[in-house]
Amino acid sequence: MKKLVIASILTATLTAGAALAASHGADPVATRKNGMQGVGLAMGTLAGMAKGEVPFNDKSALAALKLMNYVASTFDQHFPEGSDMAANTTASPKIWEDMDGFKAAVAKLQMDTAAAIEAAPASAEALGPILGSVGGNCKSCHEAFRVKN
Amino acid sequence: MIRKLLAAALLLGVAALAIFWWLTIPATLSEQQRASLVEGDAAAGEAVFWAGGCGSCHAEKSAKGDAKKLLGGGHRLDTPAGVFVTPNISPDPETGIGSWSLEDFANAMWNGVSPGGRHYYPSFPYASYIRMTGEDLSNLFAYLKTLEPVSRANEPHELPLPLKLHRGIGLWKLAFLDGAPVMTDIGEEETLLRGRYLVEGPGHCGECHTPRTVFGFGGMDKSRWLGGGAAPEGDGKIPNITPHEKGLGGWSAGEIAGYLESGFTPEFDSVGGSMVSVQENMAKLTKEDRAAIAAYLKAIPAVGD
Repeated sequence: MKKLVIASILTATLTAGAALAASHGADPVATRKNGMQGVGLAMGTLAGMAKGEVPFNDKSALAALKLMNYVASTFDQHFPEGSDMAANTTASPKIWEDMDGFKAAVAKLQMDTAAAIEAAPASAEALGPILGSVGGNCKSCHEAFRVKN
Repeated sequence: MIRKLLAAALLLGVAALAIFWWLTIPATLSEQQRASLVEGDAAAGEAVFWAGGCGSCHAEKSAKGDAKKLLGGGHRLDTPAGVFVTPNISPDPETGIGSWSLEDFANAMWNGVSPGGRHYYPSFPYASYIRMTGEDLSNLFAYLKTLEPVSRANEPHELPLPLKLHRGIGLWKLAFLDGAPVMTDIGEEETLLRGRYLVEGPGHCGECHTPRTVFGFGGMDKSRWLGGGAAPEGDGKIPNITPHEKGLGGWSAGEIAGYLESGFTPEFDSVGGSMVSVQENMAKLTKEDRAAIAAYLKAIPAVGD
């Protein structure tokens, strides 16, 4: 069971990563959506382990953090001028009004995930503070730069 | 003949004006309201402060942590009716509400009337606060008095001319201000009643999550209670939070309470926009209160398209 869970998490992670890589440079809206879905999946993996719903596994924890770090490393490149007008985007016009602020928010996610990878959490307890620092980025960026339509 | 007609028209006009004036007289506290006020307990008032979300509009935009307790106002609410600039409700005696009595405060919160006897615009959600208990209002007022005074003079709202005639708000109140519970058939279970109080009263969730009648200028549409709609302020849409499949139908009560605590949806998307500030207030409530809100949201009728 444990192996199955880990395998499925890793497969999903790799699939999300592959989807991201495949769509890279194609449709920017689809690319950033895939990216955010990967981040959500990774957060879910880490939160599940922190809460004890999924057994802790250091390799999948690290994979989840690496996926978030990878998405953050390129995320702000997928917001060309005009892509705020796409029919299916929840990107706020504020991204283009304050591109520097947006890039700083993305850079912060990259930094926080890099620090967490460096820390290499070895237990479910160690994930708590990491979820706080990394997870806080979701909310602060969505507060300023996302609009639900 | 024409003279008589003119005289009659003039008389009618004066009568109509007098009736309008009489209908729109700003309220004072009723005997019942006055009698329900108590000696305030500031410590108990902090929980009311977070439930009511005062800091989300009266502190600086996106204020975090203790900055949310600096209630100098100045937050601009950009609505289809115009721009409302929130006032200073810090205990500063010159520019805030430091010189107000508890009765002044209660008349503002319940009846939407200023100490000087003017109607407040319903952008101040007294249409929800009218359901708050006298005890909660008294405790909240005592708590607000303990916060740091902020010296910042109020700015006028930026509204088109017809809406500047604030006396007309009296008519809006006659039509839409109602202190009765919205969900009358929710049963007697204590958790649900507590949830109803928090959501319909201090939490004032319906002010954004319920569409309004009369092209968005009326009261909250009780037939589509919490069914979502266009954002009353800023861009985008406000989600449906009823148990409909397009709302929170797929969420368990535990997931709703968890979202209010952590800011994460069951799929690990996160809270965003102006709800971030609200969620951070909700995170300061007790677990039991978040569970009560969640239970209420699961118990109300589903609203579809």
